[in-house]
Amino acid sequence: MKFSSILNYTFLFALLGLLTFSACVDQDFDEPPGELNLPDITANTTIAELKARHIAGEFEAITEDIIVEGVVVSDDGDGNFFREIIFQDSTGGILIFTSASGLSNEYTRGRTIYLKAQGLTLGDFNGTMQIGAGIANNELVRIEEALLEEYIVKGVKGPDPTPVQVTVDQLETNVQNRFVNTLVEVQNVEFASRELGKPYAVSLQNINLDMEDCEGDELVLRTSGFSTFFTEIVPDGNGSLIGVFSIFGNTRQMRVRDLDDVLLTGDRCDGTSGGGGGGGGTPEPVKTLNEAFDGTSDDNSVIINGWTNVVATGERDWIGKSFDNNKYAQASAFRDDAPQMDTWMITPEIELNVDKILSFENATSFWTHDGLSILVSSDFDGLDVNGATWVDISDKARLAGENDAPNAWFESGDIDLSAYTAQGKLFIAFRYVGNKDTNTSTYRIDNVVVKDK
Amino acid sequence: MNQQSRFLLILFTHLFFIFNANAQTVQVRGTIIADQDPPIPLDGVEIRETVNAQISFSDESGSFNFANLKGGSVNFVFVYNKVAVDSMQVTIPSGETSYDLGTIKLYINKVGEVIEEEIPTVVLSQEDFEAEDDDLQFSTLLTASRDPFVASARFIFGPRRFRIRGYDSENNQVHINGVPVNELENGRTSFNYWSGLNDITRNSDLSIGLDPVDYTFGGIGGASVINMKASQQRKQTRIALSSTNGNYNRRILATHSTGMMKNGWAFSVSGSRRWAQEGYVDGTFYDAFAYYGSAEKQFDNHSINLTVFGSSIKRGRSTAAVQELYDITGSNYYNPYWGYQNGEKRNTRVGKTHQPMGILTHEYRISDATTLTTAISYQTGENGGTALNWYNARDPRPNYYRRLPSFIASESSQEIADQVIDVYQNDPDRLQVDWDYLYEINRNSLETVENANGSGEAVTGRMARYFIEDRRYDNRRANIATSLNHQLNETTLLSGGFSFQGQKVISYKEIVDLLGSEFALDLDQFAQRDFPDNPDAAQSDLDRPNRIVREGDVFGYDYDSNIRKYDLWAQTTFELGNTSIFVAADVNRTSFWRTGRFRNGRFPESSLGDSEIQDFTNGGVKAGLTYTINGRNYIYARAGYMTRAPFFRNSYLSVRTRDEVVPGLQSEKIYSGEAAYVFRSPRLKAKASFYYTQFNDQTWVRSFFQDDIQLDEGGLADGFVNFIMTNVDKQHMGTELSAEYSFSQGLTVKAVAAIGQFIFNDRPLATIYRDNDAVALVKNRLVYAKNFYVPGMPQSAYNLGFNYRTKNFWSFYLDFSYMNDLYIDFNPNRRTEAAISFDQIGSDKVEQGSDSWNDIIRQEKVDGYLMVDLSISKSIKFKNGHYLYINGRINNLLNNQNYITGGYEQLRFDFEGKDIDRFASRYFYGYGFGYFVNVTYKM
Repeated sequence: MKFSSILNYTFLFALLGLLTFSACVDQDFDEPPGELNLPDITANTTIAELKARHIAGEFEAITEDIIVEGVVVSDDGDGNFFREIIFQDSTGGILIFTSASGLSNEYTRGRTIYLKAQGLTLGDFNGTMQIGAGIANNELVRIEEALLEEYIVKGVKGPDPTPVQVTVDQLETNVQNRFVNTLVEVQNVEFASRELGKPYAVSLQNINLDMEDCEGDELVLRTSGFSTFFTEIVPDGNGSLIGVFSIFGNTRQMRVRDLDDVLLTGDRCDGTSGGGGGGGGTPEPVKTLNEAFDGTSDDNSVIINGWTNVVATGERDWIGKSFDNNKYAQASAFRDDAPQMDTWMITPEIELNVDKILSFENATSFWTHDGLSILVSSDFDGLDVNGATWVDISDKARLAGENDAPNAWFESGDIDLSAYTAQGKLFIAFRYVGNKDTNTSTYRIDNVVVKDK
Repeated sequence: MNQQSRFLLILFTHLFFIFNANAQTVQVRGTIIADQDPPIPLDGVEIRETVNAQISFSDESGSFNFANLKGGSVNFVFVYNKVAVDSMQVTIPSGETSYDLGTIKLYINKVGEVIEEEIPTVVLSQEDFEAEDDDLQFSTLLTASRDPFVASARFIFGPRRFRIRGYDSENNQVHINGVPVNELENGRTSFNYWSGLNDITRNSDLSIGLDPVDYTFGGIGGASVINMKASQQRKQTRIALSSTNGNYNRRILATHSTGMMKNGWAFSVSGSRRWAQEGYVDGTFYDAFAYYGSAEKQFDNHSINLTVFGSSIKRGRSTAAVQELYDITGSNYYNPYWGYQNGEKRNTRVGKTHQPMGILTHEYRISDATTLTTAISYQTGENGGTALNWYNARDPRPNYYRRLPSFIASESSQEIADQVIDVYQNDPDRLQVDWDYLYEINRNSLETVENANGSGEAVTGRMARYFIEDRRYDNRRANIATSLNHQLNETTLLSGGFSFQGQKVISYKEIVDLLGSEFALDLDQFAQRDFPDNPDAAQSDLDRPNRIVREGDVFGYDYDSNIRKYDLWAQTTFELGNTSIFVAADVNRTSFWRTGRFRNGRFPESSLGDSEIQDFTNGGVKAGLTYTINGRNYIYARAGYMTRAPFFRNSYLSVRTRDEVVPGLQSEKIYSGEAAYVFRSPRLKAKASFYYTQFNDQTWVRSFFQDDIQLDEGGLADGFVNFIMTNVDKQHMGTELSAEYSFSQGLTVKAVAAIGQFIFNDRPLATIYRDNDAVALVKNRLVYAKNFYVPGMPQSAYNLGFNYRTKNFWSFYLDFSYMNDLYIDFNPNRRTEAAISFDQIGSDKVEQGSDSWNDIIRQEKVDGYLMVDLSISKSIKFKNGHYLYINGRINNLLNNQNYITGGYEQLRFDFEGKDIDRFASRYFYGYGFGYFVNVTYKM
């Protein structure tokens, strides 16, 4: 090898080296500063004053420059709150109705926030006041995530606020009640004995569990089937329950942020240390029934006080639906995620003081199989469908099938329940069985009526 | 010079002597001049000596030199610009040690043609638009053929997603220095591995279709060879500086090659650097360097070559977006991947590849008629791409569909959607990544993990809500290939070979930036939601539950794809009168298996360790004949049939979590035929060819993220979804027409048309699995996609080109091209009975023939577009024999920024609402005005 060619190499590599270093692409990034600049903003209105503008069932657009300040008490970190920020000041609390999720990372409980209410609209959902972006289809509209910063200013992060200690009877179901949407600690409460042994919720469903204090004052604990703790079994003791209070009609509702809010470790009202017994409070059995499913909401699980909507196999349950302003319950295995579907919608306990007659309407669409059956039981415990004895009475009802017009409603006809009168009580189940591949019929139920014969 | 290089020099010097001692050879030299007035020495002529199989190049004085040829009869072929211009046969008397061929005159039309080869093969490619796929599809970039059709396909069509005959790159086999370099895992060729080494890869050749080649059986689409051997690089030193406004802004490229020296050695080195703080698209940086070195020794009948090369590329990516976002941002190059961090643009998606390769090639001329080439290669390095991930937090992607005003309008009201549009337009950063937010959330995410690392202890700290992960797929490859060529008689050539290829792709995720948090937890949050009753389900690795992971730790999945392939082929070409005939056959065996290193919580029995081995034996035959009508007219016809093992990539239901293979996995079958008429005269070159190819039983797998975490409607949390189509049958047919006429005044005009029809000609079956669920979401659903066009590339392309060269070495190219019949990738799920006929909620079914029906099932075609490109080059020769080349190229002279080059329908479909705009199609727009300026100094 010639020396000159070595010189050439050396030259070349030196040049390349030089150019390589000089041609630097800067991709080093500093961590952004972490300190939040405190906002220059002051409240000019209390939450109570803001709430006072609202009339139950109405909507009020806020046109003035109203700023309220409060501390966040909700927490969606464990999934029991969803798309909502609830915050309170010393006069009350309010729920910000938003489309944003992952809120607890930012609007952490204990954080002070300022709500610039101008441009927003007040409303209430069965008595619990909310503030949203406007109205559409006579419903409050969520504040879009992209617009949240236009209305909410973040302040300092503080500790989780201390809950106000209350008794159940202080929690009036009044839209202006100052405890609504605030963090409270309800004292001396316990789960009703019939709820013991149950989990907090069922997968994908919101579940209300009855609670009461020793005076018999009742409230419900509402828990989401999306929460991280819903499979836990409720404790059987008596004690304090911390949570965000809300109302649903005349029902007092509590929601916990996580299970640290449940402090039921003491002896129950009847003196037992849990399990068994317990005072009254069980919902009264009904003597008649007329359920039009008007309280359900589309595509959400059918949740009606006293009714049971339970998945025996698979993931789906009965859901609310509507067509032409008529609401009804529907089940279908079409495009199910789970391969098999077996789901039960069961009436409240019906007291058979006299002979009764059952009737309902039903319809099918996209029929592929007969998927609906009607069953009755007198030993159903309100939870475990498999543990109860069921009698199939489907053949007594006119059920829509293959040769019927799709989507057409059929009267079941009067079904005589007098054969069961001697048993004193009865549960009626609407059972749907299907699978995602071949048995995918859609079935609908409406206007379930039980009346005296 | 330091101690080490002195040592190396001594070592090399000793090696020379060892080799030289064995040589019994003659040195042959000569000088080449152009036969014109006045005659000038011709630089850069390739002189191929066919008996010894050696190559030399003429230097600036026209001289060339073969250091050690065997005496006796030798044959020289003079190749200028890839065209064999002349040849001569000489008998060198025995006993001579040196022999002078004297001055050789070559008749060459236009000396100016030399310029063309110097035009950098840089094209303003849109590789960055490929969201997840690093593999460049443009195999056409390889070719250096003078065929007018190939030249158009390469320079004009190639950068615009054109693919010759619509073939995917797995149908084209690429060889470097004797070894096959297609990936076994997916069949494709990663041009990234040598990108930036343009001076070296220029020395390449492409055969299209069933053309016989003498180093491999080839794919149905042909074979390419890149010759990186030092002896094949022209003797020169050159440095090129380039400036462009494409994916990078600047390039430096330097190459030094010694050519074959008198002592039998040849060396070549090359290196380049390409970079941009920000490329054509916002937020895309580019940071690349490439290197190459080759040493070769020829002695007796042997040549031994060692070549090492590598290309390191780091760059910020961009992606396709829905039209709505392009409209809001006012730019068809909106890129949601980046955001400002402390005032600087930071990209969440950084692609990184660096997979150096070494090849040792031995060529042995056993006799005058027989050559044996053996090569071994090894490749290692890393491949990966970063992405933002999140856990128990809001989807941070600015283009998330719930942030789209159209979605907001459907959820709430148009008035609110308009407010959101205002916010986006007044503050464009709202449609970029909000790094400050990510850091803020992470700083405030104090959490306690119980039973951390399965130890029973609790760990408290800032747990990452957001972090950057690197999705790695590091490649390890070892190949050995040997091929034998034997000239049986004057007209019969026998070729054959054997190769063994082994590949291991190591796939895993690594945490690269915790964004201000202290650790992350290795759990699958989707499994956590989907299987609340099974606490094990969320564990990525059951053997290390609740694992705390930090920067640099592997998490999520970790597995190897192992593939082995043995291949044996043979070919003969012979002549019968005016007809030359070839017949070739191939047989191969492919085995593959998965090796998991995590025991996945959902699939404890099928995720850890070696899976069952899948074996496939396949083969192919091809044959053809060329009939020479006369010296100017010939026709050829060829046909082939082959079967091909399914690629590893398409063989597993959910390869990240388990080793279950696609049910009924089978080899694909391909048959293909082609015929052509070729006319060649000094002024006119013309060719018309027809082809027909049928692909049967292909399998197609796509994985994507289904991102409904918690639905108001009571739907399910979903994660990674694998969409599998089997029974995919495709028919590719078409015609290629080209004509090029040279006028006497230095003007050349060419017209090229590629008119294809690539369709699915049967109904595939779709099956959908989630990563974390053993139960299929959808099984064998019939996809009504028969007669749908194969998407992703223009099915037809046209080029009208003008080239004018002046006597004083200016050269101009003006090209008009039109790309047409481009379809975007379709969502098979939308072409199913389920999509149009009925749905679970009992809403009215979509009426047959209605607008909605048509919108759902119709295949989306995008508009064709016209492009005008211009190149100018000038070469200056200095008195010392050095050259300066200056060239400039303008792509898209009309600055058209409104043409779609590709896109895809999202694989989600709104089954309930039947609204195709809910998950609207995403488009790639081609770049506007692009320039490339290059100055090369050649010594």
